[in-house]
Amino acid sequence: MSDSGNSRNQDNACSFPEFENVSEADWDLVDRFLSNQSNDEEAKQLEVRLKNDPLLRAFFVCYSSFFSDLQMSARGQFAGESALQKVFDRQTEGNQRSTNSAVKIDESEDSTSKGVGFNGLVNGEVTVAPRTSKSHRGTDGDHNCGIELHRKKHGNQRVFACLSIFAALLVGLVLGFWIPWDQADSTPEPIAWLVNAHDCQWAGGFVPAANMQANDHLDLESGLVQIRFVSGVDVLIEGPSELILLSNMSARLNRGKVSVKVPRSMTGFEIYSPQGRVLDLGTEFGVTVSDDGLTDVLVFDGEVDAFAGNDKSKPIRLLENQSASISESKIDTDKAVSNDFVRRISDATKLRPKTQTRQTTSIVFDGSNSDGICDKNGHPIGFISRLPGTGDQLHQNDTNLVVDVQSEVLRLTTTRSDINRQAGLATGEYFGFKLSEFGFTGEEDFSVTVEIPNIPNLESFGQVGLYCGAKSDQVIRGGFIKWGKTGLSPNTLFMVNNDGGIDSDSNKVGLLNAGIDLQLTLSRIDNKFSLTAENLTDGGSASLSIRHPEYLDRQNEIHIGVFGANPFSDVRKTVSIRKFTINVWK
Amino acid sequence: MSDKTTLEFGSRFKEIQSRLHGYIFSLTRDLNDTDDLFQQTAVILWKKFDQFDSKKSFFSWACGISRLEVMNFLRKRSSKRLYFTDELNLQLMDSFEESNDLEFELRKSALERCKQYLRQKDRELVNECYAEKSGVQNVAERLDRSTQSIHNSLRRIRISLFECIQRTLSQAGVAESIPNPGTPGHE
Repeated sequence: MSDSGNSRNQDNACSFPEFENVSEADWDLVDRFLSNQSNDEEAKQLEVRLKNDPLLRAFFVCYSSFFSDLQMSARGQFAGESALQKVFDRQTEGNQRSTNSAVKIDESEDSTSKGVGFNGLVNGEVTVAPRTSKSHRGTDGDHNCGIELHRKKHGNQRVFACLSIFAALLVGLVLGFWIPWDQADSTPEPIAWLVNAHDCQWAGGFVPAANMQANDHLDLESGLVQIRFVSGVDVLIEGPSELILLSNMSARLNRGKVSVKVPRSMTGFEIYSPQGRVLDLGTEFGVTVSDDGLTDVLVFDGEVDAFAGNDKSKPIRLLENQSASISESKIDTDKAVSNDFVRRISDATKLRPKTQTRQTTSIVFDGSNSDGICDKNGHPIGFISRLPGTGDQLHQNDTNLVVDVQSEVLRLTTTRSDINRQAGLATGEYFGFKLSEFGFTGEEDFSVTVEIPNIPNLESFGQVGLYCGAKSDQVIRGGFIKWGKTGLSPNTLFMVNNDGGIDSDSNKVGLLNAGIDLQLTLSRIDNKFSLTAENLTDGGSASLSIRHPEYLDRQNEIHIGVFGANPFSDVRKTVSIRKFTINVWK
Repeated sequence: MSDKTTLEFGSRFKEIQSRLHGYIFSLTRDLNDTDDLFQQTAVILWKKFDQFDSKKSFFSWACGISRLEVMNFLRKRSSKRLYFTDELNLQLMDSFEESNDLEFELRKSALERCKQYLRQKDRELVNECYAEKSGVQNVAERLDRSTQSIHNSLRRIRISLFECIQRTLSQAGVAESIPNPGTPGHE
């Protein structure tokens, strides 16, 4: 399809800044046309404008999709479900399946049931539950996953396939913060950052951004999260909890449990609750808020003032190991408060290998490596193999790799590839080892660590890190990524599953400025994967864990290694790899 | 077809459904027609799935089929409604191809979020007007307002919502950041 006027081949169709150049008149033409308000003349005028203006076409694409989304939203996304229902209704008409099939449907005995709800595609399993047409609207947020099979009184079990609202799983990865309507034109400074996130499920799928602003609402259904305020205060949130950030010195806990650690050099951090307030006086303390608003506080170290009700109430000072229960009208210091707070992420997540016998192999780049993939000069780099499905078209002497013996680093220049959707992988740089070469048989704990000095500021979803997988479309990976195409925001730590070619469970924490020396560790300890980033320059660290990649449990050959990619840009970045270490515990 | 094929189709369809629905809507501008054509297209895609070359873009394939369905539908229908020429429809198809599904889903989520921040009466107006084909007429009668007045209100809300989506995604660094991984730009 020729399109001489199209200059957007490399651009995103919905580029925000460009839309500022859409004139009000054009916007009006599009809006009137899509709402069937146009007259003949306006429609013809719009057609001419669209044919000749690729920007307007891009705008039209976004605006018409917005239009249909808006209507679909009102209809409870009925259209997609109905369409697929029709498909699978047809399939099942002549297609009786075994009840042992991996994909099953619960056929309602209600003869009026026609709708098929697509409840979720998770772990390669799908679930479908028929709904009556009327039930669609009220169940949009219900992502019930797994396998369901119910025998009905007619005993006629049929097999349906279903599909998820797959994107709902992807959506959670970005919409980090909300600028309230009346503040939306300003760009508030971040007041806190997500530092650690483990096994988190966020209500509504809204994952907070790595940097958060005042009024951000953290609704954590499960998991463990650590946020760090600009003021240096650390708050560790245990799900289920609902916390609203108020300022860099205050937050409101509507329900749930947090532990707060305030730097010794400062005081004045406040946790508000529905029935009171806790004011820090240089301390570490925990707060729980029950569903009815009752607030318990326990001081681990230092002291706090506890307030019942509004600010005018007289505070009760609590010292180390003292606790109180705060209600609207009083503070009860006699009530024992359970000391079951998680005060450090590591308390809950830093699992240690069960065995102490460890095989450690390290690779450095001092010219001593005698085998493996060769760099552009023909020097072996020490890494032996590539992640299956990647690098097939790379040169034998890989021009993207250079061993710098003098600096004792391996320089990796990223290529345009993307594990997500499996794009450009023939020239993708994903190299490392088979874990079996280190005595791994499938059961052992292991970790891989890479040191990357002086990390660059990546661009446009550029990403560098570690992978662990069976092949390119069954791999968990994590590292640092530039989330976004433009702007000066730093890299952030990310971790993501990929089972079947599409990324899922993506999560990100922390900010990693260009120029720091970074050490990344991807580990599977006691069958739990996690990614840790240690800032070797200033000593900070961040960690992530996401849904367990069960697709790797069945694999007897696992590859681990390093990758670097510039998925959406032709701007390639070079990173230096100083050391790569593999540990396998037996 | 096998469960595996069914799953594969389902997975692929789910990946493109937002864009495909958006594309069909852009041609018909009627959600009921869009839903019907979307369903028709889904059935045809499913029937012909064994002919689909997995090395090619599923979206392009689906769009091509849906476009023909839309054209047939519009030809059969005697309507005074205005439609674009096929030449422009093809251009629009390219534009949809240049966008990507993840972004569409993000925009959809942003929309839900932005709706929460509408005034309650605006949110109710949107939901009531768009839930049914005759929604605007019904609301106009119920509120004793002209349909044009309702359309004007809806237009104001739409603009607010669209701007809110743009702001939200821009703030999150997304709006301009997710090119289509399926485009030839990838090596």
